[in-house]
Amino acid sequence: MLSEILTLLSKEQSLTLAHLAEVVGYPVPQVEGGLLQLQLMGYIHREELGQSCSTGSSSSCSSGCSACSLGPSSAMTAWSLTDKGKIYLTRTPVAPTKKA
Amino acid sequence: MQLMKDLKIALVGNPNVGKSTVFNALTGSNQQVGNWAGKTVERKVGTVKRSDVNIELIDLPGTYSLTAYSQEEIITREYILRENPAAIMALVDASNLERNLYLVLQILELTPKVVIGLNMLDLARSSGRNIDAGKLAQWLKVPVVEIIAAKGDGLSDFLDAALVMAGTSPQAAISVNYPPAVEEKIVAMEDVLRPTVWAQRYPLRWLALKRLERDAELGKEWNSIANTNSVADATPACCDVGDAVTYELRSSTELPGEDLLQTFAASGWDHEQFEMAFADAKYSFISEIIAEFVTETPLAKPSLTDTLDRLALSPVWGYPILIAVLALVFWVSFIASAPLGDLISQGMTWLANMLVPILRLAHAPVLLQELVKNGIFAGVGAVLSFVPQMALFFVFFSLLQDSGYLARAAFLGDRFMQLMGLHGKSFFSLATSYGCNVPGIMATRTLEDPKDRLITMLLNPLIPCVPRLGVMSAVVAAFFPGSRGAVAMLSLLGISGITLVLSALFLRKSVIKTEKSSFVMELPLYHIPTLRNTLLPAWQKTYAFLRRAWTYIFAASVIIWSLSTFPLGVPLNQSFAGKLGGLLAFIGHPLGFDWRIMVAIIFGFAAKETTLSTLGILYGVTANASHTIAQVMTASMSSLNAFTFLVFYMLYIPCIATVVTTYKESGSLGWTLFGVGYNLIVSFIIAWLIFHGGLMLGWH
Repeated sequence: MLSEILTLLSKEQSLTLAHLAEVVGYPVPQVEGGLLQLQLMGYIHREELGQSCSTGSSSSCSSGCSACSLGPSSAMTAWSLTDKGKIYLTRTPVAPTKKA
Repeated sequence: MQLMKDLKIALVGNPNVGKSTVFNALTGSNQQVGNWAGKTVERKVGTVKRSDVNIELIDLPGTYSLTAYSQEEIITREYILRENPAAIMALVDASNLERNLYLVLQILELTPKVVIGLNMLDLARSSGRNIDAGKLAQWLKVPVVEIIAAKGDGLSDFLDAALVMAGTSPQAAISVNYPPAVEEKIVAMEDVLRPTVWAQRYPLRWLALKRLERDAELGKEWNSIANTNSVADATPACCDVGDAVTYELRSSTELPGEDLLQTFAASGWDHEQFEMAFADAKYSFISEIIAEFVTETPLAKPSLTDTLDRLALSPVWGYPILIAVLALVFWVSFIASAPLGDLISQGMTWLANMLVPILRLAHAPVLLQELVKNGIFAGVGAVLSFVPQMALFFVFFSLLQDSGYLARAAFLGDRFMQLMGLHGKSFFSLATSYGCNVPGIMATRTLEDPKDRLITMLLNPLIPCVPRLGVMSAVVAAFFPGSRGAVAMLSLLGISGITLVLSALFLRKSVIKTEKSSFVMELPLYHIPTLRNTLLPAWQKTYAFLRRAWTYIFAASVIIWSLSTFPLGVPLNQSFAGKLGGLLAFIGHPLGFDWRIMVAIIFGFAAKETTLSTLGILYGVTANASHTIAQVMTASMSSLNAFTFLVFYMLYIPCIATVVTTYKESGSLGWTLFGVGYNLIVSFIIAWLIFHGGLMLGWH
């Protein structure tokens, strides 16, 4: 499951968590566990997207943050490959997905 | 059972499984809290007395695994290995079984003396999940006790089971079967490690797995021992392995099994491949056994979120729905609310007309009276007139966000970004720019690839921010009343979108991109937005905008009034502002702009919101108290002129704050200037095409 998730993350098409679970053929909680595991192992990282002044994307605002409050007030969570994950995939044959 | 007097029992589990609740309930006030030696992680030890047994219960840090990635993992692993507790109480969250069993499997690789406490069963049941604890125990070959830690149920049984485990020699616990190709390599490593004295300190299979993973902590430990000189130093305090260790360590400073690892690496089995294979096999094992003892009660019907997502995320319906939602938001925010803006504009004119006589009575200088009426009130009033539109836009933005739809829009936007050759994460930056380009540019920090980041930064100013949208909607409302306004506004946004797509494709050709990648997004559940979550952020954003804009608008209003008033006694087109506009007439002429538009465009560079105040002053709104800015402007230019101005205004150079931010974020003056030049050229070309195309089509 973990290598399947990594492989899917290297594709061009982004996925929702529910869709990812459907593609790899495991329940959502299990896939969430898998994502966490991959994150702990350093292959993917979890980010808070869409919040320009959040710690997820930037630690501070270069213009004193007066404009930051005009952006979205809450962030969205996403996981994407780290360099370690990318390197792993270049060295490893692509894992077939259950529904591929 | 042998008589036991003092026992060490460890409490282990994932973070937030209720470990502290169990620990506190079992130990009461008999606790000692400190830090682990040399670490910043809290160490909690308590004592429990059971008949003639004195139990030292240690609450190990919450951890998801026992690989040496974090301090918590290292502490937990080292404690189990070095202190050899009589039993391990593994607390498991039944509602998150998969993740929790991963840790249990890792503990079982270290020791079979484990008792599982199955907590939060009530939560699991409420989500339709029934767990057969007996079967779980059979599968893992360890006792499983059902508990509800929050109520204290089953805790005594949990501890009793751990005491029983401590007094017995348990059978070997279940071990994960790895794929044959991996098993072969594990056995080969075991064969290499078995004769070493070092291997006697660890469970052999576990040590083999860790060597194959090139576990950093094992390497550190080996090096620290190998670098010591004396027998006493070489022998760890916890172990009595004698001279043999020293002899072995002195014979080689290389960890055992290094040659074998090199052989595996040569055949494509690096430590990362082993690490992934082990983790993957454990997850596969968990999913196999879970099917044996977990029964899921299917929900009677799909949830509301599932049903809505089938439409909202559908490749067929998703985009039309998104366009319809955005069209509605823009229509209500910027067109339907226009009468409110007019009301404020008229209110400001009325207020100016009330104030000026008071100033006159107070014998204020005529120039001051003029400044207040034609400078401050005309300028500030023009900007205040689009505050309702902006506030409504923020209300809708909060509504979309709080309802959960914004995340879906972002997901759909990702697909669109991919088509444009951009990274999906660029969407978040570009979407943020509809609020303000400055945070939009800063949001590019989430893009790892510098080229992706640069392209997104350069594209950002092509997105009209709220101040620009406000000015645009005010001008649109003046020249295109009624439903024509909605069409004009959507046409402008369409032009912005097409320019964005073409620019992205052009920049992708010129700023070569290296690779594409995607992400997995966690979508929140849909829910009905609350008033608080909708109105409070909308108010905060509107207030933040006004606070930011106030200084710019006030200063710009005073400057523009001064430039348009001095030298005293000359016609407006001979004033300093008129002369400045005249100097730039050669740029504006091909686009049909008069000098006043050129001055407004120049001042818009300082801050976009000042454009309307500049127009208000130069078109002398309050000089004619019965007319709003809309009425004055429509008398001075055609709808084609206005539309051309709007296109140019929407796409031309961003405000100075955006340019400075681009420079700071890109670190390149060259690319910053390229961005400014690109926007100027693109906006000029598109505006020219629209103006002359319109003239050819007979639009006046």
